[in-house]
Amino acid sequence: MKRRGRSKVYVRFSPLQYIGSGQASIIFMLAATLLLAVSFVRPGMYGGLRSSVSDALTPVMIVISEPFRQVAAMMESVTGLSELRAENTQLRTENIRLREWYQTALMLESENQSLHALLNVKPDPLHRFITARVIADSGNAFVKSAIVSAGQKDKVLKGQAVLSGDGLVGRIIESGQNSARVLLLTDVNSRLPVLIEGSRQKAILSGLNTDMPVLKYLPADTDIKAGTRIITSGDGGMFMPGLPVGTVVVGTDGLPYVKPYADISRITHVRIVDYPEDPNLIEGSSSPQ
Amino acid sequence: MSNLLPIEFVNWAMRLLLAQGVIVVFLLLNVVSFSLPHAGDFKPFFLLMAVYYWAIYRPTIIPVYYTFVLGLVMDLLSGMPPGLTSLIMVALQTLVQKSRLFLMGQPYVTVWIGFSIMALANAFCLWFVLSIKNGLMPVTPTLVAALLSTLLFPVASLILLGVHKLLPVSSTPMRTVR
Repeated sequence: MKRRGRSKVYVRFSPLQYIGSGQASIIFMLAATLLLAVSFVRPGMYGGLRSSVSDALTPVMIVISEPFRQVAAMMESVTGLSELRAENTQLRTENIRLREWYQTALMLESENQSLHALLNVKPDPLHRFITARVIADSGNAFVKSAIVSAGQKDKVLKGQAVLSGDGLVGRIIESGQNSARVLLLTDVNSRLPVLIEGSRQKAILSGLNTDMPVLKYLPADTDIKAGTRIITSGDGGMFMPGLPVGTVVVGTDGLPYVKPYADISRITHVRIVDYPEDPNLIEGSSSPQ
Repeated sequence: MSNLLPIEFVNWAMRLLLAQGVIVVFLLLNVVSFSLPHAGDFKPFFLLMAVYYWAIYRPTIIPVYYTFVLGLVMDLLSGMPPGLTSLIMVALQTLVQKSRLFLMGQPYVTVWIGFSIMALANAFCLWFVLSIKNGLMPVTPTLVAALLSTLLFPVASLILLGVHKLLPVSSTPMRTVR
Protein backbone atom coordinates (compact mmCIF):
# COMPACT_ATOMS: atom_id res chain seq x y z
CA MET A 1 0.00 0.00 0.00
CA LYS A 2 1.91 2.96 -1.20
CA ARG A 3 0.76 6.50 -0.87
CA ARG A 4 1.96 8.85 -3.51
CA GLY A 5 3.38 12.21 -2.69
CA ARG A 6 4.34 11.23 0.84
CA SER A 7 7.72 10.41 2.18
CA LYS A 8 6.56 7.51 4.35
CA VAL A 9 5.83 4.03 3.10
CA TYR A 10 3.75 1.71 5.22
CA VAL A 11 4.06 -2.00 4.65
CA ARG A 12 1.66 -4.42 6.28
CA PHE A 13 2.84 -7.78 7.47
CA SER A 14 -0.12 -9.89 8.31
CA PRO A 15 -2.05 -11.17 5.29
CA LEU A 16 -5.04 -12.24 7.36
CA GLN A 17 -5.81 -8.63 8.15
CA TYR A 18 -7.18 -8.31 4.63
CA ILE A 19 -9.78 -10.98 5.26
CA GLY A 20 -11.49 -8.96 7.91
CA SER A 21 -12.95 -10.36 11.05
CA GLY A 22 -16.21 -11.57 9.58
CA GLN A 23 -15.17 -14.39 7.29
CA ALA A 24 -12.23 -15.53 9.38
CA SER A 25 -14.47 -15.85 12.43
CA ILE A 26 -16.93 -18.06 10.58
CA ILE A 27 -14.11 -20.31 9.39
CA PHE A 28 -12.68 -20.65 12.89
CA MET A 29 -16.06 -21.21 14.48
CA LEU A 30 -16.69 -24.00 11.99
CA ALA A 31 -13.28 -25.47 12.73
CA ALA A 32 -14.00 -25.33 16.47
CA THR A 33 -17.36 -27.02 15.98
CA LEU A 34 -15.65 -29.71 13.95
CA LEU A 35 -13.11 -30.34 16.69
CA LEU A 36 -15.89 -30.44 19.24
CA ALA A 37 -17.87 -32.95 17.18
CA VAL A 38 -14.78 -35.15 16.82
CA SER A 39 -14.21 -35.05 20.57
CA PHE A 40 -17.78 -36.18 21.18
CA VAL A 41 -17.43 -39.13 18.83
CA ARG A 42 -13.87 -40.15 19.68
CA PRO A 43 -13.08 -38.83 23.14
CA GLY A 44 -9.66 -40.42 23.39
CA MET A 45 -8.20 -38.83 20.31
CA TYR A 46 -6.63 -35.79 21.90
CA GLY A 47 -4.66 -37.56 24.58
CA GLY A 48 -1.24 -37.06 23.01
CA LEU A 49 -1.88 -33.43 22.18
CA ARG A 50 -3.17 -32.79 25.68
CA SER A 51 -0.06 -34.20 27.31
CA SER A 52 2.24 -32.22 25.00
CA VAL A 53 0.43 -28.99 25.81
CA SER A 54 0.47 -29.60 29.55
CA ASP A 55 4.15 -30.62 29.34
CA ALA A 56 5.00 -27.40 27.56
CA LEU A 57 3.14 -25.21 30.03
CA THR A 58 4.02 -27.07 33.22
CA PRO A 59 7.04 -24.93 34.20
CA VAL A 60 5.02 -21.74 33.84
CA MET A 61 2.12 -23.21 35.79
CA ILE A 62 4.43 -24.26 38.59
CA VAL A 63 5.74 -20.71 38.80
CA ILE A 64 2.26 -19.18 38.78
CA SER A 65 0.82 -21.58 41.37
CA GLU A 66 3.68 -20.92 43.79
CA PRO A 67 2.33 -17.62 45.26
CA PHE A 68 -1.09 -19.19 45.84
CA ARG A 69 0.51 -22.12 47.55
CA GLN A 70 2.60 -19.88 49.79
CA VAL A 71 -0.44 -17.84 50.76
CA ALA A 72 -2.45 -20.96 51.56
CA ALA A 73 0.42 -22.38 53.64
CA MET A 74 0.80 -19.08 55.49
CA MET A 75 -2.90 -18.94 56.24
CA GLU A 76 -2.80 -22.47 57.54
CA SER A 77 0.12 -21.80 59.85
CA VAL A 78 -1.42 -18.71 61.41
CA THR A 79 -3.77 -20.17 63.99
CA GLY A 80 -4.67 -19.04 67.47
CA LEU A 81 -2.98 -20.42 70.55
CA SER A 82 -6.06 -22.25 71.83
CA GLU A 83 -6.51 -23.98 68.52
CA LEU A 84 -2.88 -25.03 68.59
CA ARG A 85 -3.30 -26.49 72.07
CA ALA A 86 -6.42 -28.41 71.07
CA GLU A 87 -4.68 -29.73 67.99
CA ASN A 88 -1.71 -30.75 70.11
CA THR A 89 -3.86 -32.75 72.53
CA GLN A 90 -5.66 -34.43 69.68
CA LEU A 91 -2.40 -35.35 67.98
CA ARG A 92 -1.00 -36.84 71.17
CA THR A 93 -3.98 -39.16 71.72
CA GLU A 94 -3.90 -40.12 68.04
CA ASN A 95 -0.20 -40.87 68.32
CA ILE A 96 -0.74 -43.23 71.26
CA ARG A 97 -3.51 -45.02 69.40
CA LEU A 98 -1.41 -45.33 66.24
CA ARG A 99 1.57 -46.74 68.14
CA GLU A 100 -0.62 -49.54 69.44
CA TRP A 101 -1.83 -50.21 65.91
CA TYR A 102 1.76 -50.19 64.66
CA GLN A 103 2.66 -53.08 66.96
CA THR A 104 -0.45 -54.98 65.90
CA ALA A 105 0.39 -54.34 62.25
CA LEU A 106 3.93 -55.70 62.64
CA MET A 107 2.60 -58.83 64.29
CA LEU A 108 -0.04 -59.32 61.60
CA GLU A 109 2.51 -58.79 58.87
CA SER A 110 4.84 -61.47 60.15
CA GLU A 111 1.91 -63.85 60.64
CA ASN A 112 0.77 -63.05 57.09
CA GLN A 113 4.22 -63.76 55.69
CA SER A 114 4.49 -67.08 57.43
CA LEU A 115 1.02 -68.11 56.26
CA HIS A 116 1.88 -67.05 52.70
CA ALA A 117 5.04 -69.14 52.83
CA LEU A 118 3.12 -72.09 54.26
CA LEU A 119 0.45 -71.98 51.55
CA ASN A 120 2.99 -71.18 48.82
CA VAL A 121 1.08 -68.07 47.78
CA LYS A 122 2.72 -65.91 45.11
CA PRO A 123 3.42 -62.53 46.74
CA ASP A 124 2.02 -59.32 45.28
CA PRO A 125 4.62 -57.44 43.29
CA LEU A 126 6.35 -54.68 45.17
CA HIS A 127 5.12 -51.19 44.67
CA ARG A 128 6.55 -47.78 45.33
CA PHE A 129 5.14 -44.31 45.66
CA ILE A 130 5.90 -41.26 43.56
CA THR A 131 5.07 -38.00 45.26
CA ALA A 132 3.95 -35.07 43.15
CA ARG A 133 2.39 -31.69 43.60
CA VAL A 134 -0.93 -30.65 42.11
CA ILE A 135 -0.29 -27.64 39.90
CA ALA A 136 -3.58 -27.18 38.09
CA ASP A 137 -7.17 -28.10 38.59
CA SER A 138 -9.74 -28.23 35.86
CA GLY A 139 -10.87 -24.62 36.19
CA ASN A 140 -14.56 -25.36 35.74
CA ALA A 141 -17.32 -27.07 37.65
CA PHE A 142 -18.04 -29.81 35.13
CA VAL A 143 -14.77 -31.69 34.85
CA LYS A 144 -13.00 -32.90 37.96
CA SER A 145 -9.43 -33.48 37.02
CA ALA A 146 -6.06 -32.19 38.09
CA ILE A 147 -2.58 -31.88 36.63
CA VAL A 148 0.35 -33.07 38.71
CA SER A 149 3.98 -32.21 38.25
CA ALA A 150 5.36 -35.70 37.63
CA GLY A 151 5.41 -37.50 34.32
CA GLN A 152 6.93 -40.34 32.39
CA LYS A 153 10.41 -39.34 33.36
CA ASP A 154 9.38 -40.07 36.98
CA LYS A 155 7.82 -43.36 35.85
CA VAL A 156 4.23 -42.13 36.14
CA LEU A 157 2.16 -44.07 33.63
CA LYS A 158 -1.44 -44.10 32.53
CA GLY A 159 -3.75 -46.06 34.79
CA GLN A 160 -1.86 -45.73 38.06
CA ALA A 161 -3.76 -45.07 41.26
CA VAL A 162 -3.41 -41.69 42.93
CA LEU A 163 -3.60 -41.33 46.71
CA SER A 164 -3.70 -38.23 48.82
CA GLY A 165 -3.89 -37.89 52.56
CA ASP A 166 -5.92 -40.80 53.79
CA GLY A 167 -7.22 -42.46 50.67
CA LEU A 168 -7.64 -42.81 46.96
CA VAL A 169 -8.46 -39.68 44.98
CA GLY A 170 -8.38 -40.89 41.39
CA ARG A 171 -6.22 -42.32 38.67
CA ILE A 172 -3.84 -41.11 36.01
CA ILE A 173 -5.49 -40.85 32.60
CA GLU A 174 -2.71 -39.24 30.59
CA SER A 175 0.93 -38.80 31.29
CA GLY A 176 3.38 -36.61 29.41
CA GLN A 177 7.07 -36.23 29.97
CA ASN A 178 6.94 -34.06 33.07
CA SER A 179 3.25 -33.71 33.86
CA ALA A 180 0.30 -36.04 34.20
CA ARG A 181 -3.45 -35.64 34.37
CA VAL A 182 -5.45 -37.21 37.19
CA LEU A 183 -9.16 -38.00 36.83
CA LEU A 184 -10.61 -37.55 40.31
CA LEU A 185 -13.07 -40.14 41.52
CA THR A 186 -15.81 -37.54 41.84
CA ASP A 187 -15.83 -36.87 38.09
CA VAL A 188 -18.81 -38.02 36.06
CA ASN A 189 -16.65 -40.23 33.87
CA SER A 190 -14.82 -41.98 36.68
CA ARG A 191 -15.50 -45.67 37.26
CA LEU A 192 -13.42 -47.58 39.80
CA PRO A 193 -13.73 -51.27 40.71
CA VAL A 194 -14.07 -51.51 44.50
CA LEU A 195 -14.68 -54.06 47.18
CA ILE A 196 -16.90 -53.76 50.24
CA GLU A 197 -14.77 -54.88 53.10
CA GLY A 198 -17.02 -56.94 55.27
CA SER A 199 -18.98 -58.91 52.71
CA ARG A 200 -16.24 -58.95 49.99
CA GLN A 201 -18.96 -57.81 47.60
CA LYS A 202 -17.68 -56.18 44.43
CA ALA A 203 -19.11 -52.97 43.03
CA ILE A 204 -18.20 -50.05 40.78
CA LEU A 205 -17.66 -46.61 42.27
CA SER A 206 -18.96 -44.03 39.82
CA GLY A 207 -18.68 -40.31 40.25
CA LEU A 208 -21.59 -37.91 39.97
CA ASN A 209 -19.76 -34.57 39.88
CA THR A 210 -20.74 -34.08 43.54
CA ASP A 211 -18.70 -34.63 46.69
CA MET A 212 -19.82 -38.23 47.15
CA PRO A 213 -19.71 -40.84 44.39
CA VAL A 214 -22.18 -43.71 44.34
CA LEU A 215 -21.75 -47.48 44.34
CA LYS A 216 -23.26 -49.07 41.28
CA TYR A 217 -23.90 -52.59 39.97
CA LEU A 218 -24.58 -54.10 43.35
CA PRO A 219 -27.07 -56.99 43.48
CA ALA A 220 -30.54 -55.76 44.36
CA ASP A 221 -30.81 -57.41 47.73
CA THR A 222 -27.46 -56.33 49.08
CA ASP A 223 -27.69 -54.79 52.50
CA ILE A 224 -24.98 -52.22 53.06
CA LYS A 225 -24.63 -50.61 56.43
CA ALA A 226 -23.46 -47.06 56.79
CA GLY A 227 -19.85 -46.86 57.87
CA THR A 228 -18.65 -49.92 55.93
CA ARG A 229 -15.15 -49.51 54.56
CA ILE A 230 -14.65 -49.50 50.81
CA ILE A 231 -11.30 -50.50 49.32
CA THR A 232 -10.07 -51.03 45.78
CA SER A 233 -10.57 -54.52 44.47
CA GLY A 234 -7.75 -54.60 41.93
CA ASP A 235 -10.10 -55.95 39.26
CA GLY A 236 -8.84 -55.34 35.76
CA GLY A 237 -5.29 -55.53 37.03
CA MET A 238 -4.67 -51.82 36.95
CA PHE A 239 -4.90 -50.80 40.55
CA MET A 240 -3.26 -52.24 43.58
CA PRO A 241 -5.91 -54.07 45.59
CA GLY A 242 -6.57 -52.94 49.12
CA LEU A 243 -6.16 -49.18 48.76
CA PRO A 244 -8.56 -47.33 51.08
CA VAL A 245 -11.29 -45.42 49.30
CA GLY A 246 -13.95 -44.31 51.78
CA THR A 247 -16.90 -45.22 53.95
CA VAL A 248 -20.49 -45.88 52.97
CA VAL A 249 -23.11 -43.23 53.65
CA VAL A 250 -26.70 -44.13 52.85
CA GLY A 251 -28.31 -41.23 51.03
CA THR A 252 -31.85 -39.94 51.41
CA ASP A 253 -32.81 -41.83 48.29
CA GLY A 254 -31.54 -45.09 49.75
CA LEU A 255 -28.56 -45.38 47.41
CA PRO A 256 -25.16 -46.22 48.86
CA TYR A 257 -22.92 -43.20 48.53
CA VAL A 258 -19.28 -43.25 49.49
CA LYS A 259 -17.65 -40.51 51.51
CA PRO A 260 -14.00 -40.63 50.45
CA TYR A 261 -11.34 -40.74 53.13
CA ALA A 262 -9.30 -38.15 51.29
CA ASP A 263 -10.49 -34.56 51.19
CA ILE A 264 -10.83 -34.30 47.43
CA SER A 265 -11.65 -30.62 47.34
CA ARG A 266 -8.29 -29.63 48.76
CA ILE A 267 -5.58 -31.89 47.46
CA THR A 268 -2.17 -30.30 47.18
CA HIS A 269 0.23 -33.25 47.19
CA VAL A 270 -0.46 -36.71 45.87
CA ARG A 271 1.23 -40.08 46.00
CA ILE A 272 1.05 -42.09 42.82
CA VAL A 273 1.23 -45.84 43.28
CA ASP A 274 3.72 -47.38 40.90
CA TYR A 275 2.23 -50.86 40.82
CA PRO A 276 3.43 -52.93 37.90
CA GLU A 277 0.68 -54.07 35.59
CA ASP A 278 -0.13 -57.74 35.20
CA PRO A 279 1.92 -58.85 32.16
CA ASN A 280 -0.88 -61.17 31.06
CA LEU A 281 -3.27 -58.30 30.39
CA ILE A 282 -3.43 -56.86 26.88
CA GLU A 283 -4.88 -53.54 25.82
CA GLY A 284 -8.43 -53.94 24.52
CA SER A 285 -9.44 -52.34 21.25
CA SER A 286 -11.39 -49.13 21.68
CA SER A 287 -13.02 -48.89 18.25
CA PRO A 288 -16.81 -49.12 18.37
CA GLN A 289 -18.29 -51.87 16.24
CA MET B 1 12.64 -6.33 6.74
CA SER B 2 12.11 -3.19 8.69
CA ASN B 3 14.01 0.05 8.73
CA LEU B 4 13.51 0.53 12.43
CA LEU B 5 16.68 0.72 14.42
CA PRO B 6 17.44 -2.57 16.18
CA ILE B 7 16.87 -1.04 19.58
CA GLU B 8 13.48 0.28 18.50
CA PHE B 9 12.57 -3.09 17.10
CA VAL B 10 13.48 -4.78 20.34
CA ASN B 11 11.45 -2.20 22.23
CA TRP B 12 8.46 -2.80 19.98
CA ALA B 13 8.80 -6.56 20.28
CA MET B 14 9.15 -6.51 24.07
CA ARG B 15 6.07 -4.39 24.50
CA LEU B 16 4.02 -6.60 22.24
CA LEU B 17 5.33 -9.68 24.01
CA LEU B 18 4.27 -8.18 27.31
CA ALA B 19 0.72 -7.87 26.10
CA GLN B 20 0.69 -11.41 24.76
CA GLY B 21 2.36 -12.66 27.92
CA VAL B 22 -0.35 -11.09 30.05
CA ILE B 23 -2.99 -12.86 27.95
CA VAL B 24 -1.21 -16.18 28.45
CA VAL B 25 -0.96 -15.50 32.20
CA PHE B 26 -4.72 -14.92 32.27
CA LEU B 27 -5.22 -18.21 30.44
CA LEU B 28 -3.06 -20.05 32.93
CA LEU B 29 -4.78 -18.41 35.89
CA ASN B 30 -7.90 -20.07 34.62
CA VAL B 31 -6.28 -23.45 35.13
CA VAL B 32 -3.70 -23.10 37.87
CA SER B 33 -4.51 -24.53 41.27
CA PHE B 34 -5.39 -21.84 43.79
CA SER B 35 -4.80 -24.10 46.78
CA LEU B 36 -8.23 -23.25 48.14
CA PRO B 37 -10.91 -25.87 48.70
CA HIS B 38 -13.34 -26.12 45.80
CA ALA B 39 -11.42 -23.41 43.96
CA GLY B 40 -11.82 -25.15 40.64
CA ASP B 41 -15.59 -25.10 40.83
CA PHE B 42 -16.00 -21.34 41.08
CA LYS B 43 -13.01 -20.09 39.17
CA PRO B 44 -13.68 -16.81 37.33
CA PHE B 45 -13.30 -16.64 33.57
CA PHE B 46 -9.98 -14.82 33.31
CA LEU B 47 -9.37 -15.57 29.66
CA LEU B 48 -12.75 -14.14 28.79
CA MET B 49 -11.84 -10.89 30.55
CA ALA B 50 -8.66 -10.54 28.52
CA VAL B 51 -10.30 -11.39 25.19
CA TYR B 52 -13.23 -9.06 25.87
CA TYR B 53 -11.00 -6.12 26.80
CA TRP B 54 -8.72 -6.44 23.82
CA ALA B 55 -11.61 -7.08 21.45
CA ILE B 56 -13.04 -3.69 22.36
CA TYR B 57 -9.94 -1.59 22.64
CA ARG B 58 -7.28 -3.20 20.49
CA PRO B 59 -8.49 -6.10 18.35
CA THR B 60 -5.39 -6.14 16.17
CA ILE B 61 -3.32 -7.84 18.82
CA ILE B 62 -5.70 -10.75 19.13
CA PRO B 63 -6.49 -11.89 15.59
CA VAL B 64 -9.15 -14.55 15.40
CA TYR B 65 -6.76 -17.42 14.78
CA TYR B 66 -4.90 -16.49 17.96
CA THR B 67 -8.11 -16.60 20.03
CA PHE B 68 -8.88 -19.96 18.46
CA VAL B 69 -5.52 -21.36 19.52
CA LEU B 70 -5.82 -19.86 23.01
CA GLY B 71 -9.25 -21.44 23.44
CA LEU B 72 -7.90 -24.75 22.20
CA VAL B 73 -4.98 -24.66 24.65
CA MET B 74 -7.34 -23.89 27.49
CA ASP B 75 -9.62 -26.78 26.54
CA LEU B 76 -6.69 -29.15 26.38
CA LEU B 77 -5.40 -28.04 29.78
CA SER B 78 -8.70 -28.08 31.59
CA GLY B 79 -10.02 -31.40 30.36
CA MET B 80 -13.00 -30.01 28.48
CA PRO B 81 -13.81 -31.21 24.97
CA PRO B 82 -11.36 -29.45 22.65
CA GLY B 83 -12.98 -26.77 20.58
CA LEU B 84 -15.60 -25.72 23.11
CA THR B 85 -13.82 -22.72 24.58
CA SER B 86 -12.43 -21.86 21.13
CA LEU B 87 -15.94 -21.72 19.74
CA ILE B 88 -17.26 -19.59 22.59
CA MET B 89 -14.28 -17.21 22.57
CA VAL B 90 -14.30 -16.70 18.80
CA ALA B 91 -18.06 -16.17 18.80
CA LEU B 92 -17.90 -13.67 21.66
CA GLN B 93 -14.94 -11.89 20.14
CA THR B 94 -16.74 -11.49 16.82
CA LEU B 95 -19.84 -10.24 18.61
CA VAL B 96 -17.86 -7.69 20.60
CA GLN B 97 -15.81 -6.56 17.63
CA LYS B 98 -18.93 -5.91 15.64
CA SER B 99 -20.25 -3.66 18.40
CA ARG B 100 -16.92 -1.91 18.96
CA LEU B 101 -18.16 1.38 17.62
CA PHE B 102 -20.87 1.42 20.23
CA LEU B 103 -18.84 0.09 23.13
CA MET B 104 -15.73 2.15 22.76
CA GLY B 105 -17.36 5.43 23.53
CA GLN B 106 -19.36 4.21 26.49
CA PRO B 107 -18.66 4.86 30.14
CA TYR B 108 -16.99 2.04 32.02
CA VAL B 109 -20.21 0.77 33.59
CA THR B 110 -21.67 -0.11 30.20
CA VAL B 111 -18.54 -2.04 29.30
CA TRP B 112 -18.80 -3.82 32.63
CA ILE B 113 -22.43 -4.74 32.04
CA GLY B 114 -21.48 -5.96 28.58
CA PHE B 115 -18.88 -8.21 30.19
CA SER B 116 -21.38 -9.62 32.66
CA ILE B 117 -23.65 -10.56 29.76
CA MET B 118 -20.70 -12.25 28.05
CA ALA B 119 -19.81 -14.10 31.24
CA LEU B 120 -23.38 -15.35 31.63
CA ALA B 121 -23.45 -16.42 28.00
CA ASN B 122 -20.16 -18.27 28.50
CA ALA B 123 -21.51 -19.98 31.63
CA PHE B 124 -24.67 -21.11 29.85
CA CYS B 125 -22.86 -22.39 26.77
CA LEU B 126 -20.43 -24.41 28.88
CA TRP B 127 -23.23 -25.81 30.99
CA PHE B 128 -25.33 -26.64 27.94
CA VAL B 129 -22.68 -28.46 25.95
CA LEU B 130 -21.25 -30.34 28.92
CA SER B 131 -24.73 -31.38 30.05
CA ILE B 132 -25.34 -32.84 26.61
CA LYS B 133 -22.09 -34.73 26.87
CA ASN B 134 -22.28 -35.94 30.47
CA GLY B 135 -25.90 -35.77 31.53
CA LEU B 136 -27.67 -32.91 33.26
CA MET B 137 -25.45 -31.06 35.71
CA PRO B 138 -26.18 -28.34 38.25
CA VAL B 139 -25.86 -24.90 36.78
CA THR B 140 -25.21 -23.04 40.04
CA PRO B 141 -21.40 -23.39 40.26
CA THR B 142 -20.90 -21.87 36.81
CA LEU B 143 -23.30 -19.06 37.59
CA VAL B 144 -21.31 -18.31 40.73
CA ALA B 145 -18.16 -18.35 38.61
CA ALA B 146 -19.78 -15.89 36.20
CA LEU B 147 -20.68 -13.65 39.14
CA LEU B 148 -17.13 -13.79 40.46
CA SER B 149 -15.79 -12.97 37.00
CA THR B 150 -18.04 -9.92 36.84
CA LEU B 151 -16.85 -8.79 40.26
CA LEU B 152 -13.20 -9.28 39.34
CA PHE B 153 -13.47 -7.62 35.94
CA PRO B 154 -12.51 -4.11 37.21
CA VAL B 155 -9.28 -5.46 38.69
CA ALA B 156 -8.44 -7.32 35.49
CA SER B 157 -9.27 -4.34 33.33
CA LEU B 158 -6.98 -2.16 35.45
CA ILE B 159 -4.10 -4.54 34.75
CA LEU B 160 -5.00 -4.68 31.07
CA LEU B 161 -5.28 -0.89 30.94
CA GLY B 162 -1.75 -0.64 32.30
CA VAL B 163 -0.51 -2.99 29.63
CA HIS B 164 -2.50 -1.10 27.02
CA LYS B 165 -0.72 2.11 27.86
CA LEU B 166 2.61 0.39 27.35
CA LEU B 167 1.65 -1.03 23.98
CA PRO B 168 3.35 0.40 20.91
CA VAL B 169 1.20 2.44 18.57
CA SER B 170 1.13 -0.13 15.81
CA SER B 171 0.91 -3.90 16.11
CA THR B 172 2.92 -4.28 12.95
CA PRO B 173 6.36 -2.74 12.71
CA MET B 174 6.27 0.11 10.26
CA ARG B 175 8.86 0.58 7.63
CA THR B 176 9.56 4.22 7.81
CA VAL B 177 11.59 6.08 5.24
CA ARG B 178 12.91 9.19 6.80
